[in-house]
Amino acid sequence: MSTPTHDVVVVGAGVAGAVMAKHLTDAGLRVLMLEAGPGTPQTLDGYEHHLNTFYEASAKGPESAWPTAPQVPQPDTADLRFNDGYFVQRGPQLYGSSYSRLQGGSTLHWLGVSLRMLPEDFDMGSRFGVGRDWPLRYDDLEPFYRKAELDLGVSADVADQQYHGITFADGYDFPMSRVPMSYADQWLADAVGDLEVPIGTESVPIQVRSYPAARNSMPRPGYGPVGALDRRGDGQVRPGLIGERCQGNTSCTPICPVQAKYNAGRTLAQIDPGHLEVRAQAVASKINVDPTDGMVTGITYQRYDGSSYVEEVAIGRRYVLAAHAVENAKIMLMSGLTGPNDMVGANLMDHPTLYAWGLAPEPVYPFRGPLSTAGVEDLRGGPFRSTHAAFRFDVANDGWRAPTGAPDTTVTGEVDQGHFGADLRRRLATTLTRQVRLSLAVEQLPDPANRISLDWRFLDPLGNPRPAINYRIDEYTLAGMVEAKRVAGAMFSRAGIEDRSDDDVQKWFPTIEHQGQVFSYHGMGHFAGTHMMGDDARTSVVDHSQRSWDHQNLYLIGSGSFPTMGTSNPTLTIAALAVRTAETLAAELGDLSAGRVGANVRSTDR
Amino acid sequence: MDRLKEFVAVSERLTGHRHIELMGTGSAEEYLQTLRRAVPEDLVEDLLATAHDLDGHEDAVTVELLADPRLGPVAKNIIVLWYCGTWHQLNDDWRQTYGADPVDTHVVSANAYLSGLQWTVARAHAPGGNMQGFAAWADRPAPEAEAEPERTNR
Ligand SMILES: Cc1cc2nc3c(=O)[nH]c(=O)nc-3n(C[C@H](O)[C@H](O)[C@H](O)COP(=O)(O)OP(=O)(O)OC[C@H]3O[C@@H](n4cnc5c(N)ncnc54)[C@H](O)[C@@H]3O)c2cc1C
Ligand code: SF4
Repeated sequence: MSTPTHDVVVVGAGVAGAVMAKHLTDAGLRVLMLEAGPGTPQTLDGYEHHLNTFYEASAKGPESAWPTAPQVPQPDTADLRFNDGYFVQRGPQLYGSSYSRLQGGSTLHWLGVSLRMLPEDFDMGSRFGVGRDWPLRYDDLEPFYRKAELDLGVSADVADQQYHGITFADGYDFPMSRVPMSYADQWLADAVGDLEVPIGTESVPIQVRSYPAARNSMPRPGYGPVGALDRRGDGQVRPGLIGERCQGNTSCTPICPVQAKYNAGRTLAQIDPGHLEVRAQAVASKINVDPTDGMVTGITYQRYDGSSYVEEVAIGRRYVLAAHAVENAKIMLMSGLTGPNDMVGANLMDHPTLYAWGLAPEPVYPFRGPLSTAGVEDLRGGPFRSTHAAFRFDVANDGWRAPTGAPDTTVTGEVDQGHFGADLRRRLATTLTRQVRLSLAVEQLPDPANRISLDWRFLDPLGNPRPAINYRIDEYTLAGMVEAKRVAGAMFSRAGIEDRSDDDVQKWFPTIEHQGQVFSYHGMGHFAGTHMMGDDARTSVVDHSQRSWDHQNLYLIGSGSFPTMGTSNPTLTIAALAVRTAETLAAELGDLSAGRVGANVRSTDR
Repeated sequence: MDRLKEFVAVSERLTGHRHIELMGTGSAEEYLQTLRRAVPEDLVEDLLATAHDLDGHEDAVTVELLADPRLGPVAKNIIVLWYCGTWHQLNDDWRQTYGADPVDTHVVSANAYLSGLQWTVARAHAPGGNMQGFAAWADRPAPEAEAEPERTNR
């Protein structure tokens, strides 16, 4: 049997893998990281090269700053126009989300919304009779939320965030004070006033509220914000002297020019290179398992360069898949590991999201500040969840850009109508400054029929199959969409906003019909559920530590482990779970080294 | 009058921005080059020649220019260039009729993207550049100055 070269082999250098690696190396363990995509530059110059790529891109989608290698294809939002992308979409609905496969992963272009889940999100099954319960409670995760908020650098005020039962440890506040709310947020908060909306049997006050964001704001005492880091050839890391405060570049997605917004590269740069080896252009393709006891004996990966590749095997004492919910499932399935009842790949979820947009009665000055700084969280929870989905809104700071392509399309629209000169200028000054938009993100429940599988008819350049997706949006979510639209409508009419939501302009978005209403929806990038956790080996893939039931030295981490996803954007919870798993692993490996080995663990120590 | 001056003079009328505002973008020369690459030389000549007809009856001349089947679509493209920094491909029919190369829709340059007039008119800035600084977004910006194009020395 081959000897391990490292304590832990981690597959994937995204936020889940990076946070995992940081906590393992902090505990003195040696980590090998396999990263499928090209290594993202760790120098400041290298990062800035991506900024120029973005400036010069004519389609400025989430992926535009981050072209990846042809050997590791990835989904792209624009694929939805013709359904001809990386995903083999089998319907009935199109799955609308994307992610990135290069070092740093999808946080290179995420928005940075860092909400905790609600206590009630952890027991949907017993409380509302839908979905299922987590094997963890909010209180189990609370200490790890705090650690994750430190790792990601989250800005918020506890005073704003105590709603729907969310609690914080005594005396705790976030590392940085809240990101100031935009002028448009403040205007909307005023204009909505004391609006209450009926929902289920209740009447709920609606509040425009600052949300926690992984973007640097004013630090609280004792915290030093991390901005751009510059790691040059000598391995030394220097602060890049920028990004310690958000500057309002208004491009958090696809690229924060100064790295005031968290990306996983920041965590990687902080890890002692003596303990971490990142091997880029290394695509994990097979998990090798000892058939007698289910233990993983190594992970085969393809190391490519140009059009050729070689296969190598990584061997550690423990293995962690942190390659993203879809890719984790893909690697397992490519290895013939399907879990109980084919649960690997099953229960794929997202937050299908609608846009609502309109024209404010006075200038609110969008297109400034982080892409959003506030949301509406009041309908994330409540008794109505026994009948329909919960939802939350993002209040955008970038006008109608997402649904219509404004401001460019606002300009071309006016010019096409024959406007020019001073008249054109005046008209644009009037319209562009009054654009208001909400994103209505709706919860989805786990459904075993919604799943990732492999389609061996479509191979990537390295011969790996493309992921196929079966995806259906059910009545529970559709009924939530109806309610979300109604609430957005009530906010607009109270605020005097002229509704311009026009499904015609987002023609290429997937649509779904429900009771005569047609919804154009898109994905939020919030994949979940492909290897869900539980407390029964027959009905879940991993346990509460994200350890595979079938393969005791293998951990599958990330939002794939979520049994339900509530309404919070997943990344803070991904990070909190990663810290928790890292601590479990470090304790276990530490005990092993110290000779305090339990019988059941010894067999896994190869 | 040299070509660049003519181009800026026509652009003033088209965009509703003054000479100094247009020159301040740093993109004037690039836009003229883009135009020359995308449409035949004689068409550029004819379009720029309208710069000399402007004094006194700008609007009438510009309305006529925009309505012209040959020059109109190009003039509209010039407006969009200044506002968005993007050249839009002229449609197939037009290109076949007037013999222009199929220059694709593209962002002219990083500077063009950053200096689009749409951002100043919106009292904002291009995403990813010319940022306003921490917390500036929480304040109301100074409103856009009413800007009738003023006469400049040409
Ligand atoms: C446009 C957009 C905006 C978003 N905004 C938010 C937000 O505001 N808040 C929020 O919470 N979430 C947001 N998300 C979601 C967020 O990006 C993800 O939840 C998060 O990045 C997932 O982390 P991860 O580490 O599991 O996966 P990733 O970040 O995708 O990282 C996975 C890594 O594994 C690598 N990999 C993949 N396959 C292999 C393989 N076979 N072998 C080796 N390596 C492999 C990848 O290259 C990548 O580096 C957004 C997503 C998108 C697309
Ligand atoms: S607003 Fe700008 S500086 Fe702030 S996080 Fe977003 S992109 Fe970065």
